[in-house]
Amino acid sequence: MIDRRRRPTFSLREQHLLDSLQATGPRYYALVGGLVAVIIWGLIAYGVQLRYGLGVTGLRDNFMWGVYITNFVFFIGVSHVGALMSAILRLTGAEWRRPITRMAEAITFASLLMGALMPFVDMGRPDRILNLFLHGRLQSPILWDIMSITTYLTGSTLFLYVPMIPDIALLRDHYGHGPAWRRRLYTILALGWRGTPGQKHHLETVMGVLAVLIIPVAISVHTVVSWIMAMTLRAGWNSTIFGPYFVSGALFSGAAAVITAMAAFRWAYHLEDYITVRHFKRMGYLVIALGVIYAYFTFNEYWTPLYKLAEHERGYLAAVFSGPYAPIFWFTQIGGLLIPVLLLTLPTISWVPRLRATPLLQPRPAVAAVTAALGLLVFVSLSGSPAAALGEVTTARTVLPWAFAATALWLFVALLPVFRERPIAAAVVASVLVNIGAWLKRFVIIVPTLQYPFLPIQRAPVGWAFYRPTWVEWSITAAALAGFALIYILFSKLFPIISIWETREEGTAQASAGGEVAHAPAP
Amino acid sequence: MRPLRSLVLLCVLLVAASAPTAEAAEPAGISLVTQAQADGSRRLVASVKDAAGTPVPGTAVTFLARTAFGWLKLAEVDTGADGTASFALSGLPAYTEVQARVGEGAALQAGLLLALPDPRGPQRRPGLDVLSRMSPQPGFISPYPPVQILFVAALLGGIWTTYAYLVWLLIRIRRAS
Repeated sequence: MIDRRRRPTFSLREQHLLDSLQATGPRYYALVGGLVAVIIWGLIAYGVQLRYGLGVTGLRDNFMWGVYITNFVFFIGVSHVGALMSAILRLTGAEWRRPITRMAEAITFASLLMGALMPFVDMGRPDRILNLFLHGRLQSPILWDIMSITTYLTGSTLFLYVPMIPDIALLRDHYGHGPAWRRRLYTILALGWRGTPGQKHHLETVMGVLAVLIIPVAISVHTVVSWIMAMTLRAGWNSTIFGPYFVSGALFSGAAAVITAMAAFRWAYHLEDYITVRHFKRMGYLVIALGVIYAYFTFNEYWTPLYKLAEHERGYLAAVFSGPYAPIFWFTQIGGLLIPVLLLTLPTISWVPRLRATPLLQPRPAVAAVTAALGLLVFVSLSGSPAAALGEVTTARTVLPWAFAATALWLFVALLPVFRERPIAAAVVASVLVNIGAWLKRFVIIVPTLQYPFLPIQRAPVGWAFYRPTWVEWSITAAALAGFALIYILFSKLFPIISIWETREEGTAQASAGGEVAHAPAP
Repeated sequence: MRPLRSLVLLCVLLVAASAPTAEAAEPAGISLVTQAQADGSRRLVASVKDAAGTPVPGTAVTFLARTAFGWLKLAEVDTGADGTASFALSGLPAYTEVQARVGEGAALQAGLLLALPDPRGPQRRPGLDVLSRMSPQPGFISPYPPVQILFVAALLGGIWTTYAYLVWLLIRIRRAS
């Protein structure tokens, strides 16, 4: 029998963590309300798409994939980090991971749910998903995708749930006199956990097997996601390294997403005792390492076709490197890869504080210069003449991007001493840039290839040869991001976002200092 | 006799002057056939004729094939002195339907079914020896469950069986002492 009369005691910081489960306020309701509003708007857009068909989107015969599949690849990529990072750090005994593994695992769960929805949205008619089961062929990479994502979703849900069981038991006892729905939920999910040696043995067995199993499953998922492109003969997709390329990109963006989540929860729930600068630094090292690996794969992926410059790949390569997709591509490489890695490394150099003494390297004039350059760039782009719209090169259009780049570099150097003093801010800026770059990189992988097929686009209306996402696609994308955030926030209101029993060691030390020792049936 | 000869000559000149020239002939009909070549390949031959049935040389003929993505332009060939234009199908996938078109907006066109698609599928399933000639991926693009698919099924089955075992362990956790 579970003894519900005995309420467990907690250390001060654990109590603080538990309070965050119920703490709400105007800011919380405003955030949830805003997210729900965005989701409702997305549902309305989806209703329009269902009613009038995919014609309301920018998708056409040749562009069967666009923003939706970009979202799909992005979300599946971000989902990697929870399972992979958590499993690897668990197996290697990295103790510093304890406060952040659950955040990472919850990211996996929320992003997988959103990512799995995207192919259905891209299909236009969701009822056609039945055809996959009625007429599906095992030889099709699309079916491999369905199978691997289902397997991964099941595995990562288990991987999130199993280490939570001792904490859920704590919550069951903590909310013994709380709301009935919470009590019922925790009682069911706690599986009668009492922390006995037999239960601990069972839990350790399950966690050990899962930690080993989830690594190949997670790697295989993103490899299979890459195969839906790499298994076709298309310029830009016909690559043998797409699997590891996608996996490295997924880990890079996923690790960055964890940093963003760490900073958000640290700020919102005041978790400074749990998530320290040390965690951001270590996660920063992970992002740097993964970024370098990703850069290596990116270089390999583009250098080989660029060197050969085969006839059927020229159009695609020109579009990506110097054509209409060049600004996005170069942003992903500079803004989404190079700058984040530099942001995480350069501020630690010993001479950085001396930059503050240089009059020219003050942040304010640099910010003013960047703002002015950006404003001019936007003004010139928006107020172009018809000739400019047709691709006419003017001096302003040539010089301004370089002027903007130069002022941005100035700002970057001027901000280095600031980022040295605020390593968390540096990590957050870097991680946000990585994730913006990651989404845009998926877009650059998918769309230009579709614009340059081996079979030429013939007898199609002029507008069909280009892909421009419409408000419907942007609305559904915003709703998917809002859905991801909402699931994550609601999860943090149901379960502690930091594992109590895993961080107990640190907690006990702190609680001992306060004369209070927590009781927890942890393994 | 001289006036008579002059009259005849004048008539001949008038008739010759009023007769349509070969350059002025307008294509009025087109036909499309295939010719088997010695190496086993086929050649599409389009014949363009005018209203009088005379071959029309120097006319551009566009050869097209129906693909999953619409009509694919294969080539544009000018008719020769005999009014025919041809295009070799060797080295191309086996299209089931081809066309030859002449003029703006495909004013004249002739189609040809190279093979009838069988909606029922093959009566007798082809072996890998046949599939390897038809597809670059005979192991996967086939009606059979090849060894690779059995391997994938075994792998997935193994993972799901492990999941089931772990869930069974979790269910038993309540009773563990």
